[in-house]
Amino acid sequence: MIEIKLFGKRWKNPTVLASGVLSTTLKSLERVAEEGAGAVTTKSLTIEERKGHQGPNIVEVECGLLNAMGYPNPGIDEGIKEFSNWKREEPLIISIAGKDKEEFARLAEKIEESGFRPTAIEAAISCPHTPGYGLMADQSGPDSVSKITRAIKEKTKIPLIIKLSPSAPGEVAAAKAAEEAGADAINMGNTIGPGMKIDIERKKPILGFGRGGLSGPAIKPITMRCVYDIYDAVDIPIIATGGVVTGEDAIEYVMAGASAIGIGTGAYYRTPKVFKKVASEMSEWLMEHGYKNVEEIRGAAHE
Amino acid sequence: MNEMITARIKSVKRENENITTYEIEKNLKAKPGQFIMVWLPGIGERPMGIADNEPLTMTVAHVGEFTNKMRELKTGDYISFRGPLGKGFTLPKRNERVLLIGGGTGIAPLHFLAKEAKRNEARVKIIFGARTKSLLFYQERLEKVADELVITTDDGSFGIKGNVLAAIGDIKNIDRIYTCGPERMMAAVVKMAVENSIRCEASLERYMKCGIGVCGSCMIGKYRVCADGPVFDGKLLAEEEEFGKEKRDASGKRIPL
Repeated sequence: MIEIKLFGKRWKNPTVLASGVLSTTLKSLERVAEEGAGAVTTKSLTIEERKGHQGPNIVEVECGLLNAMGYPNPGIDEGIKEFSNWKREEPLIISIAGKDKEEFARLAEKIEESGFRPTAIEAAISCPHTPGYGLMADQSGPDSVSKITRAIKEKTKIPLIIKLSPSAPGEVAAAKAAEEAGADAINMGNTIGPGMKIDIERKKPILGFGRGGLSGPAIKPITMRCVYDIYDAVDIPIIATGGVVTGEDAIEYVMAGASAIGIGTGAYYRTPKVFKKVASEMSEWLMEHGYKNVEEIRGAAHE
Repeated sequence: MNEMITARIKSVKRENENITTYEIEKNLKAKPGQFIMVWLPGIGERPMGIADNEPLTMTVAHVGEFTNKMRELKTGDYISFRGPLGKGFTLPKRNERVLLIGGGTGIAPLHFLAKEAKRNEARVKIIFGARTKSLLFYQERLEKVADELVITTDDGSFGIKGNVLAAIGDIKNIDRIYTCGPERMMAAVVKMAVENSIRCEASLERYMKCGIGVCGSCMIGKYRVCADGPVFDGKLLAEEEEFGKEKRDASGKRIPL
């Protein structure tokens, strides 16, 4: 009922672990798959090892989490060693983050050369709080998206997902640019902002980096609208990532046009069991409403 | 909600050259084994064990940039933290004979556990190990909460000479073991406990970032130390190949313990 096919692989359900959450180690990803995720995404890998921003890295706010991790990761070479031992049947998506199209090309080339064949590569070009990357390097505009997509596609045939930001203007043009340049899917969704939380006793922003991306239920309506608009503009599949905590949240994204549903902060609100819960709540909803397959409602909000 | 809490420091006690105990004007109603993430603005955030509830107490070894910066904290200063976080120890029941084995500042959460165990009328034996006499601290605190206190030093300058395992004695009389301290010490304790079929729990330390179970920095195997732990069942740990051997640094790279 909720099984889908994407990138030529069977997904037991449309949920996918969003990059950056519980995705530093292979065993962590295995745990998330055991907890019911239909697919998993690794922490974003960069050319060199990065320790990430000074703490605090996360602070909870009224409507979600504010985080500034700063791409901590052991570097692409160590990352490939870590994740290439993936043996489970759930699709594994490798997330990469480069400073420019040359770095993205090099990262893709390293994966290609290693012989490791993840189900897909996700290019993270939308982080709002890491200097030199994503929004802080203006990577989300259509021109940049097009160049980065082409640079990666020249190096590998592994399916490519371009991860866009709901807080960069021109997201529809960026999605079209990705599709025209050969991207295989769009992930609409990242944290929004950056935002800030100030401790009024200390009179200081709490996050070590000062500002950080907002995730959780607060951002869902914004990401929803982005998914809806992109669905009208492109033919490639859309992964929707932003604020999903329940099966009904996921159903809403499917109706906006999503093929798969990224979950990150939901694992805070409902523990890593969120994947199994969202999947079974999706099935229940579909059953109660007389649907046999999740595909039947994809884009339903556009009719 | 996992908020940043700011409170005043009530007292600062220098335990020895490298270890300080801070009492904070706050009671978090924490459980023994839980921890807080302490924030020093401009420096960072680190997990710290809870040594007592009333008032909130922590005992810190000054070993790195963050903890050395903490030397500057004085009575009356603000301190900020998130918590209590994580899963604590299973408290013993009435008349259970429990053995608490601590090394270094790992004794701090065990002090809190001993206090609560006494409240439950368990019989508490504590073994506290240090390298040498000058590094010892906490004896008075421990004497108040233990039925029996045994101190060991590696060089024999105080108490029993040798490591904590040398002071265990007859394990037949023990219902539960709890341990907190250097991981290789804990690995030896856990091994001994599992081999003798004694229930055992150990409190782990890993590089932590979020402290609330989402970022995945503090994994041991498939477990999140900050949220599934930091206290884990010994039998579970005995099967983890990383336990007592390796951890991850801030970037996620494997490093030996």
